[in-house]
Amino acid sequence: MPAVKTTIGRRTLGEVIKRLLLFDLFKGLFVTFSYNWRALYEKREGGNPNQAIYTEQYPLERPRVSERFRGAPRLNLDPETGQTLCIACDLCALACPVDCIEVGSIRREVREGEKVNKKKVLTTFVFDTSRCMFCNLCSEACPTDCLELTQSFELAVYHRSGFRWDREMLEKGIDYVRYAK
Amino acid sequence: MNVAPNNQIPNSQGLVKGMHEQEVEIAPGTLFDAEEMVINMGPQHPSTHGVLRVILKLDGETVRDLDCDIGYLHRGVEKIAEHDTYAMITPYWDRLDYVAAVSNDLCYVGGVEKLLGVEVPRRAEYLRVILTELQRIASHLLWLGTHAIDIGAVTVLLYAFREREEILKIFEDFIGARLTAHAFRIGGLWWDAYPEFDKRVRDFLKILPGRIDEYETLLNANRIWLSRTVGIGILPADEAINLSLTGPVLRGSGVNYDLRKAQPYSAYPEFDFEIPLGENGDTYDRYLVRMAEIRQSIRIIEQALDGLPEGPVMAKVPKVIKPPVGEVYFSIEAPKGEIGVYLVSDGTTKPYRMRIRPPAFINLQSLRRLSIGHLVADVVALIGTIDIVLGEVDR
Amino acid sequence: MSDEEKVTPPDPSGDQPQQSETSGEKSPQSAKTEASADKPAPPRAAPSDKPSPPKAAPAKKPSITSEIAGDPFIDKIKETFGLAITEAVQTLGQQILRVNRDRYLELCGFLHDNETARFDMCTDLTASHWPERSGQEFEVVLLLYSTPNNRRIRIKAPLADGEACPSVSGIWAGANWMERETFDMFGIKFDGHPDLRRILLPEDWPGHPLRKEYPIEYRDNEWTDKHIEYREVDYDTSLIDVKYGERK
Repeated sequence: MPAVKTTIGRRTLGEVIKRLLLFDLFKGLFVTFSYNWRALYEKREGGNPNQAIYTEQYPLERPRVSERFRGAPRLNLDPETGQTLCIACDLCALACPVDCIEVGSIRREVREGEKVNKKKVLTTFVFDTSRCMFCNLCSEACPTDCLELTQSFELAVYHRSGFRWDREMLEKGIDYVRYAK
Repeated sequence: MNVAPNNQIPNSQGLVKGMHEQEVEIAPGTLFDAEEMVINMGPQHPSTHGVLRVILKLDGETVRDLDCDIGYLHRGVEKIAEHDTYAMITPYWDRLDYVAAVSNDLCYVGGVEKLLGVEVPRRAEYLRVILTELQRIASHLLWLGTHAIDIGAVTVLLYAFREREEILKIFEDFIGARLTAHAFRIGGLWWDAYPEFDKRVRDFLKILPGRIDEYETLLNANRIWLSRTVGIGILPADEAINLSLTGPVLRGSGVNYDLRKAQPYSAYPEFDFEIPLGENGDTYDRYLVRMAEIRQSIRIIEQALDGLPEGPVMAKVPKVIKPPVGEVYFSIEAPKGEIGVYLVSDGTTKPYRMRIRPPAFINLQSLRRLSIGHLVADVVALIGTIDIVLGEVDR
Repeated sequence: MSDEEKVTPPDPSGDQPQQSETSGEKSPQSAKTEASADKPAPPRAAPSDKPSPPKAAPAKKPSITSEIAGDPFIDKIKETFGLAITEAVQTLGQQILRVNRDRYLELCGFLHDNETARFDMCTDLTASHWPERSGQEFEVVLLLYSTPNNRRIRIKAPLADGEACPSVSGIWAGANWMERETFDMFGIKFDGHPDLRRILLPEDWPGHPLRKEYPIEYRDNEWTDKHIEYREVDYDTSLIDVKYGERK
């Protein structure tokens, strides 16, 4: 650990000249201004740690959101049949630390080809995004990859009731407002 | 807490300069004849780093006594933990020290793994070390920026946040969240590293030493910085130990206590690094210790990236986590100090008792000892040098 | 520490005799198992004042706790304090001493001043609540660390409900706030503490939250009625479900 240097006693000539010419001030300003002129001509690009401009022009420019980002929830549909993948097993609701998921289901006879099975069928699905802390535990508990936290991050609403997402909203996803210049 | 709001202004001569530069004579025993004045700093004060209320008893500008009023952010995490299963508690740990969420996760997850007797795969341990050390750099950078802006060096804040942003982007790509990470699961990691992870971290580590040199150009020999930090809040080693201080605050006083070396956990025994120590135990030394720690963290991450083993990142952990009856204390070296978890298990899926050993809470206790005798403006520097996060102080 | 004790349901009368200082000292395992019986089964648990019937005993696992043997320092403490040390066990390599309340302060002073031990840092001080152990409802847990020897030890002092514990803040100054927090959360009084006030909760808060009988969902109590003012707010209902871009 370097000891602290303090100027006690007589100053050398070099130190006097440094003080007279405000050397320390310009040394500090040099660091600051070396970024200012680079900001004039450098283009901002994602992923470059050595860039000069860091400000993102949101909402004109969409922020870069990673693939693993945990944002708005979504209930995935089977791409072939268009039916929900949810089997109403309630595991997500049990895994949730803040109890923000409510799964409603009924037992019903479902015809699968020739056979008639008695199955649990999803009726309602309520997700309270105001309580959610986006920890991904529900998505990890899901056995059918149905519930997923997506890359949408604009969750602000004007009224508290807007935080309660029902099944339709979760399957459809929220529609963004596209901003243009 | 009975603090009378009295607006007494001390003046030993009994004379007060009026607004129009007239000397007004005050009779003794009146309002202005008091010795001490009590003022509140916070809870809404920009330099208390959150909702910390400091009640200062002043004699002029000199602090005679000080009391901290905390608890504005108390959420009862320890009580909530008694009603949640082991896996559910991890996200709450992100919200304790929210600028070093990954370190908190490592502490809790490590404690449960120790109680369960789970062997974590080596690749997961290495990735944990990389993420935790990145988080240490991010936390120290945030500390540097806010500490500097408290003292008056505004530029450093913007620079430190720029580097921290890079780390947060790496976190976002790896973990999926920037701040409240929920990085680790009991038994390992949920995600493996993404393909460009190695390159991204190495790119960042390449530029970081130069950037730290830049900060030191701005601060190390800065006249204002030196006069605000050198000799402020000197704490001798034995007092620091007696006050249960940990982390850079303790090492600034020259006590070689770093859990990464003293009681190694995770993959730390496999890396070569040094513990920077201070000499004088003042605010400037604590600054130097933290800057040196950033450089040591860079060394650790480089070694971990070089030796990153292949393999799985998740151990075999039962779906329902039921630790055996017993108790465990597990602690790690977080950026703020020793964060620990004391878990008592009764053999069910929920902990019977979970105690968080909060480093910031216990370090904040020393503020009274540090501040007495200093000026009000130094209290700001001293709150900064302890490096508190109110989410952890209040839990 | 027999395994039979593990599966014994708790005595409903709660008058199980506590034979400390003898070999018949209740092992912590059995007490913890009994405690688990009182924990309600659903995750968001409801009121804890209604004791649910004991669930099936947890699956038998090899115990992780064992007696300390062959440690000269622990032997020396046992010799010095005799019957006051009611238990000396280790869990996962971590040493735990259980000491009677009367000699708790003396033991702490011994550990701090002893030349070979030098436990000069109080890492943590907390407590735990065991409502089933009659006469020993609370347990003050003290975690000590020795910087010269790089060694930890855990001291436990059982207390009855309402009984005060001697304060160690005179030995370790760092224990001051930890004891205040323990008082705040459990209501354990510390004798000789210089400034025993609540620290996290408001001064006039009713109850002590980390006691087991304190319910988790307990929001609208008299304190909030007294201090927080509820107001009816008129809001513009036309703004419900209006997207930002559509707003004129």
